[in-house]
Amino acid sequence: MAFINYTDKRFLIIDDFENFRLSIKKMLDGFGVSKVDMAINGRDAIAACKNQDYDVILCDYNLGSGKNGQQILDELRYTRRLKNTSLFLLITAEATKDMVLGALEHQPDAYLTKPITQSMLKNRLDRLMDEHYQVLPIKKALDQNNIKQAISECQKILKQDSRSHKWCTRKLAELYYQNKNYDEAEQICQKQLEERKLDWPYLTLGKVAAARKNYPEALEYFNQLLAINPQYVNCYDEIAATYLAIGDASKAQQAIMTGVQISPRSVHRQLKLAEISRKNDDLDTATQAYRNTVELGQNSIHDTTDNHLNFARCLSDNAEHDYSKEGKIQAKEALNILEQINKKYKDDPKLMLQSAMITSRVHAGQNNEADAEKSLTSALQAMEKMGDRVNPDIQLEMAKTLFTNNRTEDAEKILRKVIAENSDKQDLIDQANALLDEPVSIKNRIKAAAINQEAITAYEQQDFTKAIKKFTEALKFSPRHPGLNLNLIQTYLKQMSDSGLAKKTLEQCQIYLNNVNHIHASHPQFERYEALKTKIASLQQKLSA
Amino acid sequence: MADVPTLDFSLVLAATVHDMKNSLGMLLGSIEETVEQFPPKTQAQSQYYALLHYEASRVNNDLIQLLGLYRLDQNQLLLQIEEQFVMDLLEEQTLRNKILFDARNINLEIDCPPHLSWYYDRDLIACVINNVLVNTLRYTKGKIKITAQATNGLTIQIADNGPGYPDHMLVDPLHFHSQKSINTHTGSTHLGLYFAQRIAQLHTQENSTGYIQLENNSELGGGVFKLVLP
Repeated sequence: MAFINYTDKRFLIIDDFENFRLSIKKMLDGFGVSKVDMAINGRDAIAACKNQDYDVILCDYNLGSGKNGQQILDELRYTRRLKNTSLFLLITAEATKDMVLGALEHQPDAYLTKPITQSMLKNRLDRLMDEHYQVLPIKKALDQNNIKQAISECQKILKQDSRSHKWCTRKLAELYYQNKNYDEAEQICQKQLEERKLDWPYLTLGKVAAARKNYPEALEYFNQLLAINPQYVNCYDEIAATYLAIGDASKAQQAIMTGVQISPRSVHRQLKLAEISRKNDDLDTATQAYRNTVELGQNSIHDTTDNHLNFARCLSDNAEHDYSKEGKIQAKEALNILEQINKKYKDDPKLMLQSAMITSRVHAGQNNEADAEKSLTSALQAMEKMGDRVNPDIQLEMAKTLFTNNRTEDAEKILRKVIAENSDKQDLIDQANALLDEPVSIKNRIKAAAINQEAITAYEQQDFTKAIKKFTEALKFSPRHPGLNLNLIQTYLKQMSDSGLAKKTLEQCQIYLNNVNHIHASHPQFERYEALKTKIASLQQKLSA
Repeated sequence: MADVPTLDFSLVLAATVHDMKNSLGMLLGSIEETVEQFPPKTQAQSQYYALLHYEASRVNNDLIQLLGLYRLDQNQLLLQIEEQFVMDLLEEQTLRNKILFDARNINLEIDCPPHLSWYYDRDLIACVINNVLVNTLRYTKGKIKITAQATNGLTIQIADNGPGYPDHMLVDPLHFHSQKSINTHTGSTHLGLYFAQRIAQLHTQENSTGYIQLENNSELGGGVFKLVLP
């Protein structure tokens, strides 16, 4: 092994205990290091890294209050303050499961376990530095974002006899994947698997398959990986991404939930779970995941206002029309979050507007009409003031807020405007249509969908009386839902074809048609609506003739 | 009297072991620091340091094993098999026992290709090797040789020039749980070997499984501990 000269290396020691910092510094002095900086917490450490590039950072995991060592590493890597050419060593007292795996996003170059002695530290550092310098050209190219250069440096090292062979092989597969050299990436992985069944080649093979849109093959590779190593958290992220690409959000949520169970401290994964489960209308999971995101993200780069707002939105949706103790607690929690945002961002008109809309919905959901009205008024005024800067997302949320406050016409007006102004954006049109179809709480939407399913089963079994009863019951929860209303009309028509026309039934059908007269030509149910409308009109004529 | 909840003894055991292990870790660190700051001046002082260190690391190892076996039993043991350089492992474990090697004037030889790498759980295998080393230090007459090679799996052998393993251990090294294996006179429970075998068995690759083996008549004349990992 090459002799490592430490005299020109710059070290940073991060620990909240003075004794420990000094003891490590003394050890470093012992092997000739003269440039040693020290930091007592995350803030100081990050500030130090702004001013200085370090060769080696020795960071304790547990730093009392404030950021822990992993969060410091995440932030330094995320902001690219920590270069690939620096070594980051995490010092732990006891490698607990959560902690180590929570670290997988950004892995430290090594873990050191306390107690640390000078001889062990020297031995470990010598080896790390030796390997580090062998692959330094690759790391330099990575710092410059030069993937092609990094690939050619990897190839160079792989031609030599080196301790870094395996590291370079793995890195090269990853770089080929990033550079879209899928064939080459695949080749490396297959060759590795012939030698030994490791986990990482399966991950890369799966990612390559997914990039080629061969999703079933991707899932097969990911499952083969999990058979070897079910704790490989990043694999669950890839599985979730694949299911999302196929459009199976429920399986995506399942995968990400498993990942969260293995590694509960990862903020970005909690956030992903929150987003997916919210899309899936799984409010309990989403609320808890947002709560974890916000708590774990404290003091970190992941501490964004959006997460706080979305947490409040989830709480608001969850507490809507829930007057139990639990509902009240959730409503209160939402209001607390919003109050903090109001204090912190009083000069940001967009955030204040968003906060006012959510506040209004929370109050309306708890039947506090006066407070709901008050917040709604200030939200409307804020929207007025913003003028051209109001984007469709804000308009959609305002429509939702107006519906919650029973201002149906104003809500519809905004939604029609969104549809008219965004004719090229199908996503926005779909969202606006969904609000027009079902301006009800998420819980009622879920109930209506479940009862609708029962009704459809009854219809298929030709039990029209039961089907009518169930469709009518579902409509109580979601009165404007086009599918439900049209299903009910169709069932009545079917029943009348058996038992003969009835004037009263036809009148009833007309009411259900009117329930959905908000749908327009771009709506998926529009053709069916038109057909049933014509049919009812002709039957009415026949009856009165 | 109010109802006192019954204890989940296994949980208490795990928590307590965990706590003791941390304390012992600190104790071991302090011993090493003391030796550094106040180097022994006489042979007797050096023996005291060595004894302190030896007993503390024995307790530490026992506790790590106890906790490991408990977690294994509860299906909570986290196995992280990654590629490692074997030489790093061997050097680290010998450095860990530097005080003992120095105090007893042991002639240690490590025969391991510097680039040899293999797949195993670093912490668990480190504990196995450390335990064998500490044990070997107790019985050797001054020589220890560690050999590592990779043909049909990784084989690590730790040989000494001591009296070798007693016959009953050669026949059945793993029956630690049978009463007769617990020797209250020497304090030997064979827990270390049982642990080593369980950990070796966790290492599998396709159809092969890791194992340990004890032999006598090593090239140094004493016992050999052999660990084979696929």
